[in-house]
Amino acid sequence: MNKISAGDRLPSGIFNPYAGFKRVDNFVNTSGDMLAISNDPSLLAANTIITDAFSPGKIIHVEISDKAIILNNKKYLPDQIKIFHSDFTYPNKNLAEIQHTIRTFINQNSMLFPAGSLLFLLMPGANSSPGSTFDRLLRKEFEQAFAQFNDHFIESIRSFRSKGRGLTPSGDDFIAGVLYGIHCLETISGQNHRNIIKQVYETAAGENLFSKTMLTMAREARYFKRLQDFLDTLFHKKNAESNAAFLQLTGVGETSGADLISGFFAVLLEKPRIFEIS
Amino acid sequence: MVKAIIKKGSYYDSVTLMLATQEIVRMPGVDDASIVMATKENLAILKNAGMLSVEVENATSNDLVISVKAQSKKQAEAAIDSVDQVLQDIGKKTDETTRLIPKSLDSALQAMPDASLALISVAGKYAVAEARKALENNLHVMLFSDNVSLEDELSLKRFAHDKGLLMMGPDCGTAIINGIPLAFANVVERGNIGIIGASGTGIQEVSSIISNHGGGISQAIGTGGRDLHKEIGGVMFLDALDALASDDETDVICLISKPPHPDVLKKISKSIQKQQKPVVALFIGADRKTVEDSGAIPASDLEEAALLAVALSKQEELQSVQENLTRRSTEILDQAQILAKNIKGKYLRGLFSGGTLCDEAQLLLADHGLKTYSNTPLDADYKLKNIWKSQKHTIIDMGEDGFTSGRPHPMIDFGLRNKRILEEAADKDVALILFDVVLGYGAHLNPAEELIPIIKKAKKTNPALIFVCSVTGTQADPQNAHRVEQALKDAGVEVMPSMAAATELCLNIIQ
Repeated sequence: MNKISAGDRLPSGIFNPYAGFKRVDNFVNTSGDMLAISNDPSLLAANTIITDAFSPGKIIHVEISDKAIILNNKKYLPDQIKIFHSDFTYPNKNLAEIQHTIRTFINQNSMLFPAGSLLFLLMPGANSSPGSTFDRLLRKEFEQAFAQFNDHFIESIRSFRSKGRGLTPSGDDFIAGVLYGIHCLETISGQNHRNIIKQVYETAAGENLFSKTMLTMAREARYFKRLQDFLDTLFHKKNAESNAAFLQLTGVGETSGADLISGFFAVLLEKPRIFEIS
Repeated sequence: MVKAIIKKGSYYDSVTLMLATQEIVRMPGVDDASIVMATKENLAILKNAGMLSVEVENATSNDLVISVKAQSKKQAEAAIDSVDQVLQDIGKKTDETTRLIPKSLDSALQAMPDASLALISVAGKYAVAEARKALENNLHVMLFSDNVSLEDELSLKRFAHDKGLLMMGPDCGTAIINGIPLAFANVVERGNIGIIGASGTGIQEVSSIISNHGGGISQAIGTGGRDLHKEIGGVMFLDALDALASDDETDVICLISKPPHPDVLKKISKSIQKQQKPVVALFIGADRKTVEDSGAIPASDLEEAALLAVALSKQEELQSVQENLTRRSTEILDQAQILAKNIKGKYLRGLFSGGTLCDEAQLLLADHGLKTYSNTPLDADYKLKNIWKSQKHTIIDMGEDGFTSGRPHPMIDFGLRNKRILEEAADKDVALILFDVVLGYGAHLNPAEELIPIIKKAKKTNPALIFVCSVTGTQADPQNAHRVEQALKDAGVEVMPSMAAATELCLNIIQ
């Protein structure tokens, strides 16, 4: 029997199909926990299962316990499951060094950010071409939200939440990036920011299940593979290699990864006042 | 008039929603539109935009809300009604004039029962079945898709051969059939030269030069890059040769490919020797004698192949082609000497979107003793350690998988190459940047607009840097080759009439 790969924080229970896409199907259990199944290993995350047997819409029965994973009629025991570890170790660098790395990356790669991403907040003039009235107003809302980022951090987060297009609105992607950024700040400074993380999460998490799942993973510092790969190359390898990892993260046709990275960069570059006093 | 509806259980990524919105806004009478997840916050923005109506007040954040502002209720409703179709069609739509978008080969045949050719571009795993279905329906096939196994390719080609059909591809990006450019192809004059090519950009360069020099194309048949491999045996190349031999509109045949496997070359030679029509051949990287032995007129590069074909098509002396090229070489030498006076760096960096143009540049440089590192090197010892970082003289094919994974081809998306130009410019040892601009259907509609700001920025960083390029295309292309060339010249780029000439200029400057 084929092996499968599974994230290290799979929710348990019986799952029903929730949404289907070309490369991934999503499932939800009765507690509202979301799970993703795909055959693309680059989509590994704490709550995903990767199996060659995946075909869109074909898996209808999913059952997970600490003893086995059942996909349709196939049962996978622990020794048939390769675990994906969703933690990430930041380099032993101080904030100034991290900021230098990020600034260099942005300066050299701004044109790789997809049009319409939130990079414009960090780099005025970067790719952004608001088209409809909704887009123009949205951009203004984001600008206003970011104006509060330093001095009124939680208010700023509130102003970002649930705004924007897409499955996970851009504002939520940005906040997820902020949460990962706070985890980075905690690691390099040795300070405990759990209280701020809690406030950010509670402020941001709404009813959109995709956003909520993403924000939960970010709150728990559970890194998905594409993010791990990008951060790994950004902090541990040469810039040229970060290009490929960044393109993988942003993928084609989505701003989600770029918005998340914008939030991650924002919190580390700005280090809002709240982190000085906590 | 604002009309809005809720769609439950519909999830799309942000770009799909943005493209769908743009599509809806283009509909008659529509002033504005938004398709977003109905979060409370998005609904508030819609309200501020005057785009909220009572119909969506009960939407939840897991719903999709579609809101349209139009000049009349009827127009708003028509726009809303079309959203499902628009969302489904994103990514499939080819051009605005296409009204009917069939969902299957069967429905396409119902709509167009006289069709004789199917262009298939689906994921590799579905490609074989679709191609076979088309062949079973007696359609010639151009298979744009790649990731098809050699076994499947051979099986499809043998099946097509048995039925007397063309099976162009897999991985066939360019063809011109009965004057119709298919996929990545240029708008060229019709004429009496037939091309058979196992190379997309090779066909584009040769057909464009032919057209620009007063010749014309009867047919340009792509075979896919592996047709001349031992495993495939040149099945389609040979069938295409027979097809052009019996085509009344074709008087001259021009062959373009990398060197065929020796066993395949023997078969092609046999076929060429049977031909009544003159055959010009460029087997890139093969020695002239191999080509001469095959019975064809050998060409040294794509430009020469095109010019020889034009001369033959007009029944002119072939010697004049050589004389003109020799004269041009002297002019290029003069041009190089002037440019070399201000040169500061010592290395050449070639950044290509066309694979065959990249191969050709490497070969022409190697023929003159200039070895280049590459992601697709001629000599394995010169493979780049890291494709993202150049070494000494470097020529890169940015259309290769390492650069295109998760990203459009560089003929469409200039982002990566632009970035690389700036990186190369920052290296003070770089003297020259050589690049190609490939025009035609499928390619970026305004390449000059993408390139010129980058070139200016690069020159600011490295004022002595020389840019050399060639533009593959014609004045009739959607981008207008003449306009693109002029814009690049105005930006200080040395624009040459072919990649062979551009490479020759670089060689003379650097040496």
